[in-house]
Amino acid sequence: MTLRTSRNQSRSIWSKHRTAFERVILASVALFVAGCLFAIESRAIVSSHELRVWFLDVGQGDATFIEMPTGEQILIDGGPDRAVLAKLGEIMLPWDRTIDAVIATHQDSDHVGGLASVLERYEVGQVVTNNDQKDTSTASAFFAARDTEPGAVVESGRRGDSLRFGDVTLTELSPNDEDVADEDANAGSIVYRLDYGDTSILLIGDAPETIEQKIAESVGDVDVLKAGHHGSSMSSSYAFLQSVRPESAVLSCGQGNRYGHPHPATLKRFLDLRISVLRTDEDGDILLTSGGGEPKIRPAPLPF
Amino acid sequence: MFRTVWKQIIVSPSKSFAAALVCFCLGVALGPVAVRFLGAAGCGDPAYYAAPLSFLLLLLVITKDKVRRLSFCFLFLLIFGLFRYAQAVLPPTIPTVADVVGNPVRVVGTIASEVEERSVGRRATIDNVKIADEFVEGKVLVWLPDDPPATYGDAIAFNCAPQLPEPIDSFRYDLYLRSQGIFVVCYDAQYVDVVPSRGNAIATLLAVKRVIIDRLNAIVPEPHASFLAGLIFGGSSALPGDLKDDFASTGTSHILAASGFNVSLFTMAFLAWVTHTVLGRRRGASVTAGLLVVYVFVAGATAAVVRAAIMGAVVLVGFMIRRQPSVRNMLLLALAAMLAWNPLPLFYDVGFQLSFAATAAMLMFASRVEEHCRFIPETFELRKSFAASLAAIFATLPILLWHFGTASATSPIVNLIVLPLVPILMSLTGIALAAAFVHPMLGTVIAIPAWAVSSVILHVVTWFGSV
Repeated sequence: MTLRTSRNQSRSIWSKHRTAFERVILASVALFVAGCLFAIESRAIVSSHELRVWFLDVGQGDATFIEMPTGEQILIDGGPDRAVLAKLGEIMLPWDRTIDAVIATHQDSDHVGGLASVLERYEVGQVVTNNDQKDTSTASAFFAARDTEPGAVVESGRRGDSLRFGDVTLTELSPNDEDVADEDANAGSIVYRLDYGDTSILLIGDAPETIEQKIAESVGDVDVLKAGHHGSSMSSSYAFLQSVRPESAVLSCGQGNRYGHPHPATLKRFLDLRISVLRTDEDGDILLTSGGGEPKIRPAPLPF
Repeated sequence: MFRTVWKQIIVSPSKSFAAALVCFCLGVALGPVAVRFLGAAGCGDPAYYAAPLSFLLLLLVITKDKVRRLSFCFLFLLIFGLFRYAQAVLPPTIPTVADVVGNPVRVVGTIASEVEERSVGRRATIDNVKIADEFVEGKVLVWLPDDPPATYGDAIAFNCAPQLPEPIDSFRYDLYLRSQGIFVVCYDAQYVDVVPSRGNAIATLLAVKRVIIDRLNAIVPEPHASFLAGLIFGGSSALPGDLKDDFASTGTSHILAASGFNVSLFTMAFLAWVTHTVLGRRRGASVTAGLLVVYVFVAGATAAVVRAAIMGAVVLVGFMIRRQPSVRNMLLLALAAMLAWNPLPLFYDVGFQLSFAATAAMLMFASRVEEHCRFIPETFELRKSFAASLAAIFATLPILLWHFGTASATSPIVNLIVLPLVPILMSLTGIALAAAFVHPMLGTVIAIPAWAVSSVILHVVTWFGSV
């Protein structure tokens, strides 16, 4: 009994002497661990002052996040739902709430579904759309969020426009007004060619074969092709692939999606032309890094 | 043996009280048997209970002998429990919303739950359902598009083909929904019309909660914001699907339900901490009580939240009186009160069962477990949380086995790592939220420790989830 009391006493004295110092240590340990995990997973250490292009695994849809060597961040498409937010949370620093530009290639729900929530959570400097007025409920939610985004410059992107961030240029190759007016919303997709030193990437949205034919000549030769329409058979034609001659292609599609993307015929075209293929449904998130020379591209799955 | 127990029950008022509560709970527990038996005999209607109940009541009033009175009282409560259950289960003759399953109909009703944001669209429960201008029994769980906006208490009408809910793997989701009064689900609501209600108290509270969650979203990135919102207010709907699966497969989903589990755990850890501060024991307890009340209001005062807060209150009172029999009685009283309100969760609501089992275990065994956990440091009340978690894990294991058929081998390990961090994370989030209302940028900076702990927890869950 005596023993017990003395032990209790010593414990209570100990607990009274517990200082804020200890708590600070515990919180610091959590911070340190979380910080290390973040740095490793978001590959923040390996590629500072490089161009980083994340092809995010957001299920059946498209979302590409680009971090410029000069620090600006842009997001092209936001996938079908809020999943993109978790990806951004993993790539961007926990206190970073600004994105320099958000681009919606076109208004299909698998491209703009998550953008309304991105505009809600982040301060966005510039919003670029093709300004297609075809009415869908996801598109109207996106437009509503865009119109209420404080301080955002709203632009409608057309062929010939370009975005410039330091040495990185995004040149818009499509659409023109006629393409946007097309009944097929995919034809109005904004197509960008990104150039940084010797690195070139073609981001083609959902543009179908007809658009590919139109722009093939102006595209020239690229290193990496973000394949059109999630690898459907209506895009990435032989002629187009032979014309732009990419070394690798990225396909953004959801595991077991009901559209059967990517189409086996498309995959065969890539195989025939010896273009290496990375797929978000199999490889998870895909990261391209470039210091201005040849780009490196690899699967880099984010934890959540 | 029986005789000595009976004697003890008669002699001690505290034990008589406990026995009375047990009788009621037992009545509810035997409800399904009675309903089946009486239903087969053609007298399943709850009205049949009126005669024995009033007879016993009469006996109670006229009997002078204390022992007999007590026995009548126990019997009365037992039958009352049976009656409550029979009342909760509708006889098959009453028209319900389930009668129109598979047919496209226009459903008219009132939104009787929070409108939850899903990763696509929103989900709500509809009550006071009218189909073809006729009121029918049963609620409808409906998936709504983002537009038009709707909130608790609004009148709503939509077209859909109601379906019966189905079990998810081995989990009887259908029975769970049934225990909540939900008979059918609508996945494809179209032509939605909403008439906003005015001055609804719960709608106002939910609006306050919305403001708090928006603030949380502003200071913490995803998926941490959704996780923290789930941790504090319950609900995992906004989390990415993969992460939700990882929580399920590691047996940690319960921390995302507005369960008594979290609230009790938090109450226990907070009490242990606050007693050592300048506030001391008594004032510390008042502060905790205040926090619980605020929690109920802020979290929207839904059934699950009230239940969770009752569990927290049980812990609090148990902490104040520190007498084991009183703690036992209070647990029983809370259980009986919740069952009197709705008896069905006793059988079908995993959240209810886990929440109660965990709280009971924490109250009854945590201190004994703590004796054996000397190897854990006392920093940040880690040892107390750890012991409470361990007690809760053991108590909830049989329930998990019952409902899900399996219990993952990693579940105890993950729970032991994650649970002690939960109260710390809740406090860190609370502090950051308070700061966020001063200034969002201040909140963002102060939220960094919460982000860090959340990140550690989510990593642990995903690592073990992928094992």
